Amino acid sequence: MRRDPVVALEIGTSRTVVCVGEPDDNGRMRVTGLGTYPTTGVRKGQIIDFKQASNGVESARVEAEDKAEVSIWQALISATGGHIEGKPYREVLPIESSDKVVCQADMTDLDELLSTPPLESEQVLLHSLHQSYSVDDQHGVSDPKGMQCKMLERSAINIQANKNRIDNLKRVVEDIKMDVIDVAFDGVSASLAVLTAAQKRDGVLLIDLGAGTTTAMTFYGQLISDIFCLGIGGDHTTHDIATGFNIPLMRAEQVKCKHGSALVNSEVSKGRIELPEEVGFDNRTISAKSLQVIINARMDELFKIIRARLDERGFLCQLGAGVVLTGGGAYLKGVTELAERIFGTSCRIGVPINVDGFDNLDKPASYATIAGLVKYGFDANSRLKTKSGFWSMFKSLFGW
Amino acid sequence: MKIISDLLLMGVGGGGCALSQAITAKANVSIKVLGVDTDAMSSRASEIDGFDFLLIGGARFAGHGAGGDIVNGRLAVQDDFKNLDPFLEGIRTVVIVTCLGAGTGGGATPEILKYLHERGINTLCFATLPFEFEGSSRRELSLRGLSLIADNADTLITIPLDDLYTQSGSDNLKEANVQAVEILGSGISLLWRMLCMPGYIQIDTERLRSLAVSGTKARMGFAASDDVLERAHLVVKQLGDCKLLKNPVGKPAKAEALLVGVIAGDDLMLSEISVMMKGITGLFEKCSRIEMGTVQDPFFEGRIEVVVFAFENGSKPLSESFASDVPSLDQPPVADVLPVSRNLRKGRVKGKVSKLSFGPTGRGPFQNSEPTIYEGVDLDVPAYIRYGINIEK
Repeated sequence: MRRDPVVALEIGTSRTVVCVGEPDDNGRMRVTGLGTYPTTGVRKGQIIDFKQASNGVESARVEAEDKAEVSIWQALISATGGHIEGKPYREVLPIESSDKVVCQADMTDLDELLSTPPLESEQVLLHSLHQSYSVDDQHGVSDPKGMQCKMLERSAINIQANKNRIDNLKRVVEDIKMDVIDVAFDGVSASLAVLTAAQKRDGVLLIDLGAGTTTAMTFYGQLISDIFCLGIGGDHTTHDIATGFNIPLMRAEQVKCKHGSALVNSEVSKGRIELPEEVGFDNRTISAKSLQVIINARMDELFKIIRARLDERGFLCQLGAGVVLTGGGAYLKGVTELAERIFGTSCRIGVPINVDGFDNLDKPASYATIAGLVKYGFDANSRLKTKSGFWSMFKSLFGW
Repeated sequence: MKIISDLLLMGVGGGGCALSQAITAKANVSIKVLGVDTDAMSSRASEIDGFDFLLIGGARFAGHGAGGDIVNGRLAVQDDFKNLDPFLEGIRTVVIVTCLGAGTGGGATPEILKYLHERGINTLCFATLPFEFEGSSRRELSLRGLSLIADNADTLITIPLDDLYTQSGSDNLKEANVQAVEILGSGISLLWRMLCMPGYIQIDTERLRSLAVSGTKARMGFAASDDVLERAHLVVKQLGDCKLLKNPVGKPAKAEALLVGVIAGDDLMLSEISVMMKGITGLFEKCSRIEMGTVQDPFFEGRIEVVVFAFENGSKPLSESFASDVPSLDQPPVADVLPVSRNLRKGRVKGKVSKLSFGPTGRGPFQNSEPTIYEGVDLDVPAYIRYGINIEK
């Protein structure tokens, strides 16, 4: 039996990706179509040129439609940016039944309370991520159903975002006659694609090094313990290089990708890098060491900001499964070694393992968010299956 | 032995650790000393009483040094800033000794100075420059480090090793080395003795602070004599000839403030002090402020040692140096409001444009987007600029 596909859309700072995924017979998601297009109207994950961003989405959609042989008019979208933050939140429910035993209805009531937290007018709730229950004064209860108590408390981390920014993201999609089913935080999506249950249990730090933003999510005991989003990304490194050597941004990006390193290696850095002549640009050479120094200064600072935050919250010692890097920045030479030094634990690049079909792509870790978003949509299917509309989001080009 | 609790001597790098070790041995007073280096070998100095050692960048370089790379030195100390904190508890002035030309001294010292400045701790930095025969690359490396130190130190005293060794008066390498360390060690340790074992004419740490906080360059000269009859005159003559107190063209350096320290036995005569002070003042005619202190130690019977710190720019009188911190009259009088000025200092005012300045257009592609501000710092500005790293194009 063929199941309905899921469409995910990521409007990133450097590229827009539309991905179509379908569950296989074993219940695993597999990518059936992928469309990408360079983004020009987005900075730090936020829309700065509505029309350009919209054109990028349209181009990526057309490519994905061709490859997956479907017509796309609804999608899940991912959101990122420094305006997104994770805030601890808790709600308490008095158990009013005569026997004071927690039943399913109590837990549903508590869930509803948590899903409607008091927010400032310009804020919107993206996710409410469960942490734990407390039964009277007993904390850390995983399943309180059937337990006797007067008060039931549930704590969560609420991921909140600026409402206007999210609305603008939706409007870009709606501009090309597509509907937005749901908006997911990119860090949550990436974690769904690359992390295993064992890693989340033992403690892991996931850092998504995007072009415009960096997202850090910490897991311990299967739960999210911290979320941090900073408007600093690979574009900043490129800008640093462009400023340092007084070269165009495009040149700086090429130099970063080809010769850049997050570590200063005294052996490698002795030489000079030649920049060939181009129209309006004479050939010249730049110091390899200076290039490494510029990149190192930026990456070192970024990781140290994250480390200081974890240290302050006491999570630094809870990284038994190490650090996992995703995003395009994960492929910068020496970045895993730098992270190992700064966080004092092992570090690896996280490729999508919970969604199939990314193995043959160049730099698969840069697709972690979109892969996770597909899985997010697949997981959400079971919850939304009964609701009308969601399953009618595709109409086949070929009549199925 | 009394320990001046708010004063710390810090040796940075291999040379700095060795020098601070020599100073500790010479001072004959208990000094709080901290050696900071990327090379674990420097920790051997920690066997001396009162000498603590902090290995920096251990995770990066495994205690094998910074490889003569100032970037490595900078990164090493950035990794371990927090480990400095226990040693800075209650400290108000840090005297840093470093030898430029290798990686740790040139790279870590500016970062440490910045870190201390952020904590409201005054800094007096002694930096030696390598010999001319060590080659131009070492010289350039040291000058790069020196410019960053000058930007961050309250007072910088630069000591070219060529001048220091000429001053030692010996051509034999071993002897010259011993003499040079003796001169430098004696000079700095005399500073400590003036503060720890004052004689009849005292100088305290606040006077030192008032001279050191003005963001200036300084020179240090040292002279000693055992001639019982002519020692005062001989000391003045030695100071007049001292290359360390002269500018590059061989003339006495311009100085607007002087700190003179005299150490002698109980046989020190008032007339001798008068001769020395007249002579020293004569060497620096444009000097508008002189602070002096004496140390009397029976061990120095028959001998006089004099150290002169000549500050180039006008150091403020003590009353003025705290003028900005003096509470207004409508505030209740608080006993310690004058000395306690930690973290209240404003950014240092320099005559030249700071290397860290960055124009409004420097935000490049982020100019029209919402700035990424983290703990008051605009992260859109290139990191290497904010950290004051010079980029070789």
